[in-house]
Formats: sequence, structure tokens, C-alpha cells
Amino acid sequence: MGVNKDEEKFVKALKRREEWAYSKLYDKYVPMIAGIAKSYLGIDDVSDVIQEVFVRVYKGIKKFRGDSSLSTWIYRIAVNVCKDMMGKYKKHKEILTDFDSEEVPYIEPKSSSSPVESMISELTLEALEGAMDKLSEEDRLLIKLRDIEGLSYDEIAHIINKPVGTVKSRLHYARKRLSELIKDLI
Amino acid sequence: MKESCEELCMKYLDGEMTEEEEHHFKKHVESCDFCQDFLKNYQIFISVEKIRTSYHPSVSNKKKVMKKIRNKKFLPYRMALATVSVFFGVFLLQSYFNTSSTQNYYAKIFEKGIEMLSQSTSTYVENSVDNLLEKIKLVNDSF
Repeated sequence: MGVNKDEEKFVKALKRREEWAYSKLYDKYVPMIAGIAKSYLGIDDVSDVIQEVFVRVYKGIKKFRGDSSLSTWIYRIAVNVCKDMMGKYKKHKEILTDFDSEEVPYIEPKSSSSPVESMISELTLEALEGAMDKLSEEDRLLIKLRDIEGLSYDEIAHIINKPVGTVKSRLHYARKRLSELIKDLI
Repeated sequence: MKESCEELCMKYLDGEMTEEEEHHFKKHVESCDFCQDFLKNYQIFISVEKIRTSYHPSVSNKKKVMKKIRNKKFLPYRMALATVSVFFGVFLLQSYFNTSSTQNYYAKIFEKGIEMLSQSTSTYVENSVDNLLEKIKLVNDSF
């Protein structure tokens, strides 16, 4: 899970604080960083998280030894930033929930939709989000990293700093729990 | 059966099945309500979560991040420049005060000089008046 030659050059450019390298880093990794933040924090505006991740990458890149891939290292930083910011966003979310309207938004059914899409259209977005909220932040993150982004168990274990066995059993539990929660909604 | 169905579903989702196992599993799913429900429900969540957590990088946010990075990059230079400026400012102020205190010193000397001069002049004038009066008296007496 080390660093290849191209990545080594790229990391050197980052260590030299070259601006083009940070620009490229943004283009390459920001969708994943934002995805992690959205999944973990359950919010849409993740610009603060992105900025903080880049500041920490900038400050910490000199300590990056290449024991893991650059992406794993960055995602680990993203998870740590999310953990640090959790308190702030939890409060924000509570305030927003207090002022939420009673209207329930429906997902528009598409004319040529697949069975899964038509099933989604039967559910409300709010109901699905409610089901997601019943999972812990870490369980949502595991599902995101494994089943949406397709990372290996080794990479995930490295990112969340837990043994592979724990990650696997935790993910299996989260999948079962989620399936049950969605079953209750249908 | 339910327990093993769960395990099979997990193995399938993890992509850990051989081609043959996957073939058998897909056949099994067709006739198993539990596996069908499980995979269908899970697929619903994944579809929604995929959309919900997708992110399209915006130019404005990239600009903000790059600006922050640039600020961090030039921070040591700015700090150094600020430190030099402060030292230079202190040096200028010090030299200004030094100059003004020197000026004060010369001004005092000058004032003292004027004072001494005026004193000596007045004494001289007083003396010369006295002398003159005395001389006038002498002249007057001689008459």
C-alpha cells in the first residue's frame, strides 16, 4: 500500500509547497473528501471541512513518509477533521431540525425508471435520511468507503485506524441494520 | 437458512465470491425472499447515498482553498517582513529620539551660552556704566 513513482514525484512537489500540486490535489481528491464529510456529518455544505483538510495536508505533508498511499493518508485526515467538527455540526443540525417545516419532499418518479428507482420514488427522501441518521457516523462512513467508493478493507482499516476484522464485522452489522430500517419504511 | 443467507449476501456485496459461487448465489436469490429483500433494500440505500454524498467541485471553493494555501505559504515571509519592519521602525524611532535629545543637548548648551553671554554683557554694561559714572564724577570733581 506504498507510494508509486509518479505519486512520489507528486508528494515531493507538495512538500516543496508548489501551487500546481495543491491545485491538482484539489481536483483529484476533493470529491472524495466532500463525500466522506457529507456521509459522516450528514450535511451538504462541507466547504469548511474541505478547507481544514487542505490546511492539515499542507501542514503535515512533510511528515508523510509513504507508509500508506497518499489517498489513504488524505482520507484519514478527512475523517479526523470530520470527527473534530462533529460537535459543531451536530448543534447546527439540531437547530435546523427545530425549524424544519412539516412538508415531506418526494423524489420525483422517472418515466423509464428501474425497479430500484421506482422503489425509491415510493419512499420519501426524509424517511430515507431518517433511516441513515439511525446509523452511527462511523457506520455510514464504512458503507460510504466500502460500498460506494469501493475501497479495500485494508485501506479502510488504515483510514479509520481500526483492525480489519473490526471494520469487516462492523460493516456487516451496519448493512444488516440498514436493510432492516429500510424494510420497515416500505 | 437465514443466517447463511446473510453471510452469502455479505460475501456477494464484498465481491468475495468466485464466478461459480456467484452464479449459484444469483440462482438462489431468485427463489429466496430474504436475499431478494436484503439486496434490494441495500441497493436503495446505496443509490440514495451515492447521490446525496456526490460533490461537484466549485471554482469559487477551489479559489478559497488555494488562497488559504497561498496565505499559509507566504506567512513565514510575511512574518519575517513584519519583524524586519518592526525592528527598522524601532531603530528609526530610537535614532529620532537620539537626534532630538542631542538637539536638546545642543539647545541647552546654546541657551546656557546665551545666558552666560547676556550675564557677562550685562555685568560688562553695568561695570562700564559704573566706570563711566565714576569717570564723570572725577571729571566733575576736578572742576
